[in-house]
Amino acid sequence: MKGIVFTEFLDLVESKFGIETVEQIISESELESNGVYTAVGTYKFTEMASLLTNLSNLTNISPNDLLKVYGLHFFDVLVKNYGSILNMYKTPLELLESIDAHIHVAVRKLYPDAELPYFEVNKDADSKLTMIYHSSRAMYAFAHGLMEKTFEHYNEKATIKYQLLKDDGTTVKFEIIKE
Amino acid sequence: MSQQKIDILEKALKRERLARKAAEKILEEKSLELYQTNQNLSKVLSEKEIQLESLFKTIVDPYILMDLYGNVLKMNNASIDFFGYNIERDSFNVLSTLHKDDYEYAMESFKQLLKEGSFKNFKARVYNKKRELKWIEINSSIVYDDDDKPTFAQGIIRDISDDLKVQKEREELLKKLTISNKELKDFAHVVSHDLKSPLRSMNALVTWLQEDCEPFANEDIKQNFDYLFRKIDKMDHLISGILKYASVDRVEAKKQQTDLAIIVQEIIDTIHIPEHIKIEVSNDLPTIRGDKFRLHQLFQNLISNAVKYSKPENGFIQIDCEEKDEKWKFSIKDNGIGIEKKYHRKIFDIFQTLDDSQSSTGVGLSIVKKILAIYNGKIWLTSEFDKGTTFYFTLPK
Repeated sequence: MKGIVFTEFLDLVESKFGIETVEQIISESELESNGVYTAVGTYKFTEMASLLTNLSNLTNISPNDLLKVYGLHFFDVLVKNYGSILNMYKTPLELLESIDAHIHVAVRKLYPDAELPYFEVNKDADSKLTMIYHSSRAMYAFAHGLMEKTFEHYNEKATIKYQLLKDDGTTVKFEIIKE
Repeated sequence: MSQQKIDILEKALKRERLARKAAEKILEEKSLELYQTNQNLSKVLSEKEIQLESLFKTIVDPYILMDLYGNVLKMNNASIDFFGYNIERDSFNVLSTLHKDDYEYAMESFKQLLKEGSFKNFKARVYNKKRELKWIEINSSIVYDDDDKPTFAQGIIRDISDDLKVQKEREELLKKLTISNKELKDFAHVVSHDLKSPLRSMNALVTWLQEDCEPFANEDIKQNFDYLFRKIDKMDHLISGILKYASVDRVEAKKQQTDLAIIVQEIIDTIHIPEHIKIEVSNDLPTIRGDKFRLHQLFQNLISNAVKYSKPENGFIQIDCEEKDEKWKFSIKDNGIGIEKKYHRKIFDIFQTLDDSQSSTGVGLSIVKKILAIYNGKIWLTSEFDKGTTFYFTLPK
């Protein structure tokens, strides 16, 4: 998993819960990296899972709720770092529709070792999109956060419903209807 | 600040420091990787450049690269030789070289080029630096930049001045040939018609003479009259032959699907075939595109020949066909008297016949050859004296 996902996560934890919480979840998780992360590095996903579980235990907030908040935050990181790419899309639906066909393709070119989810995208109508999330990492809530923030970014509103097609959250169907 | 807080901050600081070092190491590796990739790219690029440059120099035809206003930016040696301009010294715009009558056409073509991205076989007249007028043919295309915006136009030029001259000469020659051919045919017609009428008179006169001589004619006189009539008859056949030969390509007949099985059957039904000759026709005769009348004439002449030169008993004629890549190969085989090797070419010339009987004029095979020439077909034969002859010929599908 790309280092930026770890560094941004810990930054967010620090700003929301304080540096003590950061210290605590790092020391409670058994981390190969010892919690030393740099945005340009690559680390195991299990470290993220472990940090998330410990944060959830500590805060009594479910991992998925945490992930969704993180997703909302992470969109801003993307805007800050890759604003020019986002500007290529004129509407949030256009952007979401292009995730797999364009954006992830470009990401893979830059980071061949990136582990990305796969989306089955279906445009049902002008204002309706179905996206089926596939990933062994089951971070659909993170994706959900990103989706919501996408609409906010374009000053538009949408109803985003999701349904777990597999109980472990590795396949999740999102229905996005623009209001 | 509590000791606990200080410890946490120290730990965090330590992590940050290690992270920074890790990042620096990664970046260092990335820089190295980038540098190497860059080196490789430069190498590939310079190789490509050398290849292009040598290609550019060795292209035999003049090549020019120009901006969208016709200003030449790059030209190869052939181009420098052709135009006499060298852009390293003179500025050179292709529009300025155009003959004034071709200017408008050039503008139209350029619009087309911009629209379509390429333009082929543009022909125009241009002046070189010495003010020599040349006919050229240009194949050009637009070079686009990364944003698909047209940036340059490039063209390969061919000097067709000489080609055009040769072509014109050829056309004139063809015209002359057509005229003299027609004259020859007309001549053949006039001559044969003109010869026929005195021949008819001759026939009438000899008939009267024969009647007048009847009372005192002895055997010699009777036989001589007989010879005389045969010669007149032969001459009549010869003249008809000239007419037929001359008329083979007179009419540009319409091509149509023609079933050769039907044609061959019609021929067998209409020509006289003696009892002792058996004809076997292959079931595979195809339907081909051609002029029915000519194809009929072609097969009739060959089949008649086979019948005419068959043996007095147990004659056998076999008509066959074989499918080749782009053509049909036909064969007409007989077990007749055969043709000696030395005559195999001669028999196709007009008025060449190997027997002196009155019905043989030496026109049949020359007509066959002429018809096959119209269809780009070929004819040849194998033969053994006293055993038989096989004529082979091809017709396109």
